[in-house]
Parts: sequence; structure tokens; C-alpha cells
Amino acid sequence: MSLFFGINIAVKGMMAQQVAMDVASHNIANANTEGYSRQRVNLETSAPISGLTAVGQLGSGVDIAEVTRVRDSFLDYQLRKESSSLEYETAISDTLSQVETVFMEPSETGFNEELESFWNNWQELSKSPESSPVRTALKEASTSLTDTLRQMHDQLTDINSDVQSQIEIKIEDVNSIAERIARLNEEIVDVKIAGDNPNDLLDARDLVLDDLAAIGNIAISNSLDVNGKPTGAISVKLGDITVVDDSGAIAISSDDVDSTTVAGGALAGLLQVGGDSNESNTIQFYIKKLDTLAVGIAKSINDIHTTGTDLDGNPGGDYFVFKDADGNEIEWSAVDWDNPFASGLSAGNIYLNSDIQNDVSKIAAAKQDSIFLEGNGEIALQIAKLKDVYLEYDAVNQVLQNSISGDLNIGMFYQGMITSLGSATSEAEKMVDNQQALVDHTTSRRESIQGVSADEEMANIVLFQHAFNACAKIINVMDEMLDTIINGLKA
Amino acid sequence: MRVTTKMLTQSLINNVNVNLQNMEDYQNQLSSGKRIAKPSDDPIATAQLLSAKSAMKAQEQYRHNMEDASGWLNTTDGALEQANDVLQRIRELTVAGSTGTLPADSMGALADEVDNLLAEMVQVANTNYAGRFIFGGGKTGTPPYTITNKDSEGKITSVQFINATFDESLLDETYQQRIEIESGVTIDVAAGRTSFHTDTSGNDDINAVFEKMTELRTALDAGDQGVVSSLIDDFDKLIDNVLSERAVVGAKSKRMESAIERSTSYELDLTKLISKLEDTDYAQASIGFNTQQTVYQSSLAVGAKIIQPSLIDFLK
Repeated sequence: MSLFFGINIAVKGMMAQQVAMDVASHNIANANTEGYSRQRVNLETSAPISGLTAVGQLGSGVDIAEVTRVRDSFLDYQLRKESSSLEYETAISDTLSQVETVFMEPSETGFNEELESFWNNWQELSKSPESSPVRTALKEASTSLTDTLRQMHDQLTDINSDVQSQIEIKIEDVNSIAERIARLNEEIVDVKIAGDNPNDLLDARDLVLDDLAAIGNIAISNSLDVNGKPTGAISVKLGDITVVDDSGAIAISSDDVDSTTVAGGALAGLLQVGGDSNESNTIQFYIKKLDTLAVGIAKSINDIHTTGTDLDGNPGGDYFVFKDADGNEIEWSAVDWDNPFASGLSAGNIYLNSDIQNDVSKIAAAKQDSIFLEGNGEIALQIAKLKDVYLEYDAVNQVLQNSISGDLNIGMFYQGMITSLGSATSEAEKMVDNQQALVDHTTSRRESIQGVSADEEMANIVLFQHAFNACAKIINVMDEMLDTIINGLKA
Repeated sequence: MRVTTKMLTQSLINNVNVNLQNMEDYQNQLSSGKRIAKPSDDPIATAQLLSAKSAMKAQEQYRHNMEDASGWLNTTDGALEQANDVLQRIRELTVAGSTGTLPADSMGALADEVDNLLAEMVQVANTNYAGRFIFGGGKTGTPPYTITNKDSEGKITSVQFINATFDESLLDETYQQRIEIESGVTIDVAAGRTSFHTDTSGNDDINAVFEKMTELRTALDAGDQGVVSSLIDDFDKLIDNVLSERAVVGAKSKRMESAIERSTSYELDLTKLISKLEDTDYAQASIGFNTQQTVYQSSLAVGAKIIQPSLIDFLK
């Protein structure tokens, strides 16, 4: 039994405390690193030595078993699930808020007011049908009405195409994240094979998985080797689509994703809000409603206007017209009124008839009659009264039609649309608030487990320092003992 | 639970953000004066607000219509009063002309006055309101009544209504000038049909008044007292026509006045409703804002102290 054995134990002790100190230092250094999970040194006693003394086994000091990271994978799962939902609702809520700004309601300049002043101008015309200023005022109100309709339509279409390009960007993000995961997989497997814990690589991979979960709902499974043991690599599915497997990253395109394959995350939110389901949280819903409104207004007014007589005694023409992509007027008589949108009618191409635009006397305010009377405003009155006429909304074909059994007028139809928008947006916003609270809470819980506490590390450092000092002291004592033996015994 | 410095900082940031957002809400409400800036702020109230605003705009238009109708009717009433005065004078002249003692030249003088009154009547019939002729029905842009014929002595022999081919059957169409004064309720303000185009037996007869007056003038010129005296009854009936039309116009005018009053009070109600729906409740918002400000300042004060002395400070 040599004294050098004791020195050896002390040296191992010092080395172990030093490593522990290094890990504590690494923890403190990374206290604010995104995605970092604190690491812990697991110390264990080294293999004892038997048979050297009569008392039996003798401890041989300390060994460093491993350096592990402190992390709860269930909290990871939970946080990713909640943040998927959060991003889903955020995408919808953000887009619907944009849609809200298109309609600018309630305000003095919104379409609601525009529509009312349009009707009021018809009222004025019914009282002074021969008046050129009144006719011009009506023309301006009508132009403004069609301008507003077209502008709202264009803005909604812009938001929709913006959503589509955001989807493309998200797909690119998914692909680059998938490649990162695949690369990290390889590195992790390499380290694992060497028998080490790839703590920091795992943190890096978990961090990009958090990012991926924000884009879509993800499912993670561990790859197993031939013996059924985890290799350290993972396969990742975005919704139903595998984006990373044992062979590496699998690139996806926007054709691969739709609302059935991806259910959460910003991507699913964008797919929902930019999709064509007939729900009130899609942009398409409002575009269609606007189209219905524009066609409904044009149809009911034209129907009456064409029965009238203009100031020159000629029968009234179409008041509103729709133009095709080349700027030509779409033939009114060729339109299928059960599905006017198939003929190209939409809020995006409604115009005041250019004949009326050029000559306000073409507005047919008077009743058609054998003798024309300039002061007759019967037709103008009938059109003004359309404001209160109850139309029938055919929900299947999405057309507003004149009908005796109608249950809403044009104003109500528009107001209903705004209410749908308000409800859908406020619902999405509430969901965002709720999800945000959940995400904050879960983040906090995860941080509580894996975050670095400076106090804790400092306390540990003190502990390690004392142990290190004690070990050093042991060497010192051993040295004195050796001195006693070597120098004290010569005589 | 383990608490780390990062958690403290993160929750501080979250809370300060939430507080700032709430402050912004109140600040928006207070500075814009509106409780609802976008539909999602309160979808139900937005729906009510939009429909109340529509109703308000429509009501303003209806009131405007009623005021127009009222002005039109008042002018009509004044013109009919003049028409009545003319006919009263005509009747006096008719009575004077029917007494057998008048010499022929006196009859001629009466005839001259009748001719002048005839011209005056045409003028009355061409009365306009803000440039629109009121007794021509739909013919509002140009004087509906024109003197088309004078004889060699310059006396009026015929008056034309609208045009030479005007057909009596079109009177219904012509005398229809409806103004909407409430949703679905219209008032017809056209006048003149009874006063100028109704004969002594109450039937449509274009220019009946002018024809009778011409007839009187011709009889006076001819010194035919029998015909003149037979016209007294006729003019009584024509005066009745004017009076009954005036009564109708007067009733409508009355109706407009009370309708305008009702409309004004309805508009007031709507204004109150709109204000209740969209305007900021300043008392509530101010209190909310102050509370929020206190909360925000506290969170900032706490934030300043978040870097608590840690173990490091005591390890010397």
C-alpha cells in the first residue's frame, strides 16, 4: 500500500472538480443562449481495489461518469404543440386584421357610408330628375361606389397573393430546417458512436425543432439501430409529410401541403386563411361576398334602369357594366344569372356605364312612356327604394336575387359581411391571447427545468472549489508524510 | 419551482408588453373618442352601429326630402291662392256682365279685363319653385302653359298644355311626382290637375279653366248676356276645384311639418344610439387608463429591481 496511491486519488479528485468547474463555467457562459439546457457532471466512484488490505475493498477515488443535459422532453413536446397552435391562430388573426383595414369600418369613409350616399343621390334625382348638377352628383357617387368596390376587391386579392407567397417562404424555411436537422442528425450519431453525450448538438437540434413546430405541427420519432437502440438520429414529420428520415432531408414543395396534410403552425394558418373553403376566416370568403354584393347591386339597378327613359327620350341602358380582362364590356344578356361569376362578373371589374360617364343625361330617371316628361323621377325613385328592398341570398350560387321571399337588403348583406369579419377576427385574436398565455406558461416551465440559475452555479462553484482545495491539501499532507518517511528516517 | 434570472426577465418583458398594449387601447379610445376602431373590437356593436348609421343617413335624406316637399307645397299653396283671386275677380266680372243694363262698350271693357286675367292665370299656372314649374306635372323644365293663339285684336284664343298633341289619357302619368318621405312611404306633390284641367262636372279636361275664361271673354265681346250669366255657376265650380286642391295641398303641407318634427326627434334618438355604440365612455376610459398607467409604472419599477443582488455579491 503506497502513499502514492493516495496522491493519485487526490489528483483524480482535483481533475474531477476541475471538470465540474468547467461545466459550471460553460453553464454560466450560456445562461442566455437560446435553446441552451444546463449541463450537469455526474461523478461516480472509480472502481475500488480489492485485496490490498485486510479490511477488504478500498476506494480508488472519483471518476467523471458523464456530462448530461437537464431537459424534459415532454415539455418540449407540449411547448411545440402549443406554439404550433399559437402560430396557426396568429397567421389567421394577422391576415384578418389586414382584411379589416380594407373595409375601414366603422368610419365616415367606409363602404357603408358610400352606399348610403349613393342611395341618397338617387333620392335627390327622383326629386329633380331634370337637374344636371343632381345627375352629375349621382354620376360621381356611382363612380366612387364602383371605384371603392374595385379597390376593395384589388386589396383583398393582393392580401391573398401575399398569403400565397408567404406560404412559399414557409415551405423554403421547412426545407432549410429539415436540412439542418439532417446534418445535426449525422453529427449526433457520430458523437454517440464515440460514446459521448452530444449535449450542445442536441440543444441545437431541439432549437430548430422549436422553429419547425412554429411552421407546422410536427411529429418526432427516434431512429433505431439494428439492435433496436436509438442511434441518436430522429425522423421528423411535418403534419403527415416526412421531411427528415434516416436517409436525410426530403425537400417538399407547396404542392405537397394543404389543409388536410398540415394541421398546425403558421403554414396551416396561412393555408386556411388563403384557402377557398367557405368559412369566414378565409380571404376568399370576403372576396366572394364582395362579388355577390357588386353583382347584386348592378343586377337590381340595371333591371330597373333599363325600363326607364333618359333625358333625350331614349330607353335607359345598363347603368353598371362589367369589363373583361381586355377592358371590353361583358355582354349583359349573355350572363347566366344563376352563376354570374362564371361569366367574369366580379367586384373587381364593375364600372359605371361609360355612356353615362360621358353624358349624365343618359341616366334614365323617368318612366318609359309615349311622351317623355323631364320632371318624372319614377325610375330614380324605384332605384332609390331598392335600398329597402329585401333580396334573396342564394347561398349555394352566392347570388343576391330579387325575390318576394327575400330576407335581407343590400345594406344588411354588407353589414352581415362586416360582422362575420369582426367575429372571425376577434375570435382569432382571443385564441392568440389564450395560446400566447399557454406558450408563455409552458416556456416558463421549460426554462424552470433547463435554464441556468446563476445562484445555483455559484453555489456549485464554491462547492467544487472547496473540494479542489481539499484535494490539493491532501497532496500537501501526503508530501509531508513522504518527507517524514524519506528525510525523517535517515539517521 | 426553480426560478432563473432569464425567467424573471422574460416574464417582465411579457407583462410590460401586455400593459403597454392595454395602455395603447385606452389611449386610442381617449384620443380618437371612438370605442370601436375596427369590427373585431366589438362585432355585435359594429353591426348595430353600421345599421344605425345607415338609418341615420337615410333619415337625413328623408328629412331633406320632406323639407323639399314642404317648400314645394308652400309655393303651390301660394300660387293656388293667386289662382283663386283671379277666379274670384272673374266671377265678379261674370256677375257684372250678366246684368242686362250694361251697354255694349262696358261689356267690351269687361272682356278686356278678362283677357288680362287670362294672361295672369297663365302666368300663375307657370309658377316655379327653385326653377321647377309646379303645375305642369312632369313638365318641370320649361313653362308648361303657353299662349299659342291670339286673334287679330291681340286677344288670347288658346292656351296649350305641354305640347300640341298632349293626350288627356296621359294626365295620370304627368301628374305624378312622388317623393319618398319614409322607407316605403311616398307623397305625391304634383298639383294643378284639379285646378287647371278639371271641368265643371269634375272630369278631366285639359285647360278647362282657360277654355271657360276664353268662353266668357268671347260672350262678353259678343254682348251675349245669357251665355255670360250661365257661366256664373261654372266659375263657382272652378273656384271650388281650386279650393279643394288648396285644401289637399294644405293638408299635405301640414303633414310634412309634423313629419319633419317627428323626423328630427327620430334623428336625435339615432344620434344618441350611435354615440352610445361608438363613442368612448370618457369616465370609464380615463379611470381604466389611470389604473393601467399605475400597473405599467409598477411593472417598470419592479423591472428596475430585477437584477437582485445574487450570491455572487456575497462571495468575497
